[in-house]
Amino acid sequence: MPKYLLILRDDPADFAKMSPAEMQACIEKYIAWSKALGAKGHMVGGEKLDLPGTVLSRKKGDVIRQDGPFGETKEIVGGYYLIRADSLQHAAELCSDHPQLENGTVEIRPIDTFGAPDAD
Amino acid sequence: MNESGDNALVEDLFRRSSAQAVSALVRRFGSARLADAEDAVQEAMVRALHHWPRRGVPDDPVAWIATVSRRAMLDRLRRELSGDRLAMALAERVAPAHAEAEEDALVMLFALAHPALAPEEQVALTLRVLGGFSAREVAAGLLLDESAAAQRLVRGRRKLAECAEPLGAWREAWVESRLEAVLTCVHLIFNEGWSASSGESWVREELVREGLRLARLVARHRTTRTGASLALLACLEWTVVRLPSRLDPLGEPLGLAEQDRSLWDQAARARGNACFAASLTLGSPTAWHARAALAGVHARAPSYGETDWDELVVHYDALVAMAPSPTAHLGRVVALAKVHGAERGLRELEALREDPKLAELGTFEAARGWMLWGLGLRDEARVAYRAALARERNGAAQRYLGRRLEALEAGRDPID
Repeated sequence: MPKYLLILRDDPADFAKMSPAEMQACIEKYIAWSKALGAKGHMVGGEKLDLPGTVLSRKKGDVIRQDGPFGETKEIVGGYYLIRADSLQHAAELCSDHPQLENGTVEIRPIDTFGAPDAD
Repeated sequence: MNESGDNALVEDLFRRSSAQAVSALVRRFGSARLADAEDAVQEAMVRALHHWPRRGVPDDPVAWIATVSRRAMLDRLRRELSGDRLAMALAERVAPAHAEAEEDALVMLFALAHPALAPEEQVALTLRVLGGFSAREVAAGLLLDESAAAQRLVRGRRKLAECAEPLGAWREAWVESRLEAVLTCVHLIFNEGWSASSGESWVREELVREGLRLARLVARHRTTRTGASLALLACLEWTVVRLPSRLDPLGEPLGLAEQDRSLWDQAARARGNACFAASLTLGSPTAWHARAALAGVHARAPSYGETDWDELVVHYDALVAMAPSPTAHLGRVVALAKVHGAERGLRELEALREDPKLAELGTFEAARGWMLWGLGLRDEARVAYRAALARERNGAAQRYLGRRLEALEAGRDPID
């Protein structure tokens, strides 16, 4: 089954404003979602990304290092999951009830298999 | 780590563990660092939010939050301070003799009873820090708008920062200087949740539970276990006896005469009995004993008709003598009316008019309306109930009065 990377973007300030009770309700939803996906055999893994980070680029031969923010908006990549799904459509269906959608976005990108039907 | 993530989160885990972590940090770094401690704990919870769904819930989530909060706090101090000042801040933290969560909470509770804080700031901060409520939930609990609640929290934190009280070891001297302020604060929190009895908001029910939890915390510790703290706990236990029956199935508040007493919490009554008996062995009676005794009379009465109004008058007399307040005066007059009749009640009520603050209360007019109704003076009673309704801001309380006004207008007998 092909693998898909889920890139979770959100504004960390939104979470910082939540009350402990709201946080617990939120975390319970995330756990339930991960568990349900794992039970169906679709979960490969995932990590939370920490701050600070830095962006490297080269300008006229010099390596430029820029510490965040990382884009135009306040939303940053907060973490990722790697899942298995039959197709992009299927992956989108699996994520349609992701609790992240209440707090930000989920970008779904297929892992490139260079044309192999099911590289693992 | 539990890789399967099978550990369920117990109810209130985040509220409890955040309160515990803030208390532990403030105890070690002093009350001037309260805002930093709150931020550090918030950061730890955000980390949990991202980590736990992926890595599984740790076997000891409370310890996880405490540890990550402590690291976040140290990071903050390192970023803000440097050199000698950092070394001093880190060295200053007093390692408690025994890192006991209950004592951390108790030190926090008494640190917030600092005399520089106004009672309303103390109540708001106690809910925020010890109850683990957000500013928004504090506002909902105290029926304030959000900015007013936030203001109280900010002012309270600033005053604590200005006083920069080092904490660390539990101080027995605080029992003398601050216990009364702590008990008053706990009672206010409980009453805020109880009095509106609206049942429409999660937070308000939580205030009742929070008040009870804090009262137990104080009454349990060896140095704060006094006659007064046990009497407060007895008062709250005897009051929550009525918790299961005080709302009808639609969530509307019911009066004492209307409640189904078979639902009453007899375990709470037994706990109240034990606390009150213990309180009487420790020193002379206080206003807290009078308040407890009042709740006890109701908790003991098998039916409304069997309520011992004579005994209530005795306890109200004691309360009015030791700690006069509008509600104490009003309660006393209602009890007098039950014993000696509505005419006597009305006379006493008119005497209370001298206190303009009291006469402005919706409950004053409601009591007047009920007595006038008892004397068959329906027109005057109606005017009084209408005045009471106009002064009442809580929706459920308005409906409670509205039902009485309807019964009055329908020509029925008085509802207590």
